[in-house]
Amino acid sequence: MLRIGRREFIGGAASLAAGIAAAPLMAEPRKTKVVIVTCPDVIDRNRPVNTGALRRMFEAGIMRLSGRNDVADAWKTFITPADAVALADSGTWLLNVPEVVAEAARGILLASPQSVSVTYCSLDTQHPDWMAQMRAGVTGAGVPPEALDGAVYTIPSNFHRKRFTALVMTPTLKSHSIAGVSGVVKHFATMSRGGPAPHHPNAMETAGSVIIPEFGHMSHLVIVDALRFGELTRGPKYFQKSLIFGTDPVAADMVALDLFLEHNAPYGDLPPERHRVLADTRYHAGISDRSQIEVVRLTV
Amino acid sequence: MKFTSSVTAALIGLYVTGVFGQTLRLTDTAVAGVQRLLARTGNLKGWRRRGPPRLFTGDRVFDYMDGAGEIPKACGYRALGVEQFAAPGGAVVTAEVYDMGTPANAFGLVSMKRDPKARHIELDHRAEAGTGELVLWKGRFTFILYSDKLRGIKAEQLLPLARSMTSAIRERGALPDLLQYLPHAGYVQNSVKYFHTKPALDTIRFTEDGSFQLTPSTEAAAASYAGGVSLVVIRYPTAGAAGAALRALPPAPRRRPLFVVGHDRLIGAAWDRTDGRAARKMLDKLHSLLLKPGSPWPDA
Repeated sequence: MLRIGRREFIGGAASLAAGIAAAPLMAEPRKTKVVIVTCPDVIDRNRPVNTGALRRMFEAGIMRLSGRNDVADAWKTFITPADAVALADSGTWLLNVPEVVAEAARGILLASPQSVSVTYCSLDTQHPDWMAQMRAGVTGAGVPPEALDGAVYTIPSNFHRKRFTALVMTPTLKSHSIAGVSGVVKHFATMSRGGPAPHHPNAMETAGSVIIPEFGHMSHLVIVDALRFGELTRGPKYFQKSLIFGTDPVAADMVALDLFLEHNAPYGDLPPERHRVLADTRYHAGISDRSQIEVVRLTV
Repeated sequence: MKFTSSVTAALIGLYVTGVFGQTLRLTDTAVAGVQRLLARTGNLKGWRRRGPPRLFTGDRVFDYMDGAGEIPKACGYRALGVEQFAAPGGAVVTAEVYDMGTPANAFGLVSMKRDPKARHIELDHRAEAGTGELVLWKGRFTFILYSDKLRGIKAEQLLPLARSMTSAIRERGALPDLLQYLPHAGYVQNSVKYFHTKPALDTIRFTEDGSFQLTPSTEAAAASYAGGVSLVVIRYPTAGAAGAALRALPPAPRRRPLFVVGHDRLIGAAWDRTDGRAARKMLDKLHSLLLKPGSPWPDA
């Protein structure tokens, strides 16, 4: 069996996304693509989410990331019929807009995978109103109620006990009193078998260490819910009105952080880029070098 | 006494690891203390309890609040009780009650949680009254009360809940005496923070190494001053420990110089946002106070 490192894994995924045969041992690293979709009408502080606008954002993002002109084909680029998919939400520091989880579930189902589990964070149950909205949205999208599973994304988690082959996640970004700004890489640490606590020291410098060993066997589709950015656990602070799509968790997180910092500050003196960069340079879990990330900005 | 499974597990853990006697009794007392305060809310007119309280000690705090648990730990927390209520009008309110062991630590947790720019009101001590959130302390207890994000209420509407618990605490509690080593002149109101270990210091001045060798038995107070200057004073258990920490300090980066003085069990440090000139000036004042502390702080 050919073992490949993360660089090659990412390169392969990027090639697949572009509809090109995967070439694991490329001489030149291929740029990874991250797509930012923004819609001024999707949500605002005193305005609920516009589900039609949200769907257009999802469709635009997934098609541009995949290079396909058909929404179902685009989802099939990332999810195959053989896949057992885990859809992980953002957790409780800044809960997802529930409709984002529902729309991600709907997209996954378009690809007709073998199975899908909505592995919501077990701490979400502390927010019964949100749980009810998320459950209604996800089942309304066609996910059977029994596919909602709060026993996987526990802390510490049980992802390692399951046989998922594809991971779709919808993390949010917020200022964070340990990581500076939490996002995709930190989300992996939270979802790891040991939980986030062992990774807390030094602004979560080891957060990226879990990505390859624990999640490297799965394909990754990251959809950052950047409709709003948060402040600690205090909820939404800034309405960014964007979604960010990528297959490289580190690259998606770097782009998301840059977007966050345009209008928001990290917590205190904590360096938010550090654990993201180390996820690349120390743990080889993705690309943090901005010159190797192709950022596509769309407005719908 | 009835415990939740989290606390039962924690107490059993103490026995298994052979930590008998004083530690167990302290934990037991702390749990009983927060339970007793939460029970005081039972007769509050118009408020309805939504379920039994959950109780946490030690690292079980991460079961409840993930990374946010590092800050109570850095401030010396002993037990946390959490309960949800339906407020008059239906909003869901969460009450977190921390037994911090000492009034100084109770202030410390408030100091780490508050935002100096937020609105503050005078209760038993100065309290932060944010949007749908009230952060206060009395005696050895810290209270964080907040409403759900979907149907938020004003901080003032949380006062009856707060008072139902704080009225049972006889001791008002004093600010940490360590604050007397910090200058009053130029102090940015509500900026002083009090803590014990590195995760808290990292939010103020991040270091990759173990600078200052903070442990649960060290005390630290840090504050912001006019001109972008930050000061920290640290008290060690012994003069030898202070000396060792001073000798172990790595050279500060040129970009952000750190100026340090020491006396007996104390270390003081200053830095600013620019070339260090303003910090150096403040260091002289700090040094004088290390030799002869100033008057007690009325409130902070």
